Amino acid sequence: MMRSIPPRLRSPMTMLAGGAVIAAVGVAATGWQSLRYLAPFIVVSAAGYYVWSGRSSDSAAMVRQQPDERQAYRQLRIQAVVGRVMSAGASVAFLAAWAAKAPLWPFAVFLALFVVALSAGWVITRERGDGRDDSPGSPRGWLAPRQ
Amino acid sequence: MRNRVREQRTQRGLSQAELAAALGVSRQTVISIENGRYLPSLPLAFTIARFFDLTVDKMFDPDDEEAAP
Repeated sequence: MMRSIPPRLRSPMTMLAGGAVIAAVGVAATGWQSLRYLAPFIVVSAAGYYVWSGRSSDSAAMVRQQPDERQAYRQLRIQAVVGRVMSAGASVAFLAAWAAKAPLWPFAVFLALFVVALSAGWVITRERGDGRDDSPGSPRGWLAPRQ
Repeated sequence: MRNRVREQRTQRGLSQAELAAALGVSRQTVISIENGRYLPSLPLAFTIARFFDLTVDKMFDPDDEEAAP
């Protein structure tokens, strides 16, 4: 479905869809008043993303989900930095919650998510083959004893 | 690693944007390659070399550590 949407519109539409979900939760939790603050924020953010993605820059290419190889590599590095900072933040928050005797179950949920995401990432990015050297006379695989 | 992308591009009177469009990458990536800040992948290196009718080792010189200007 996303393929049929022009790249420049994908992020803004995702933001609008996500914003609609958040707005629905906000309305259910606090009533229609929450829309007064949420709706302009969501619409302006989506419009801003659309305008931004029309520029000629690395960030714009990432926003419109059309990065070239350097931009995709940069995006991965950015995500790695964000992941590390978030992990460190979660660790500090865990310690703070533990010290304050606050409920720790949200951290257990995130730890489970971490394990699932790590396993999924490992499987998704694995390469074919078992890493054995198939040249004639070579030891069979990395488990073979060293000579 | 030194490369001859800028030299070849200017010889042919191409702008960075035109070269980027021909290679299917962004202008920023052409700038980064020319400045030696980014080493292209092997497929992109071949694409660049073929675009300029050169071999990869003529286009990119690994022995020259005096990278980009």
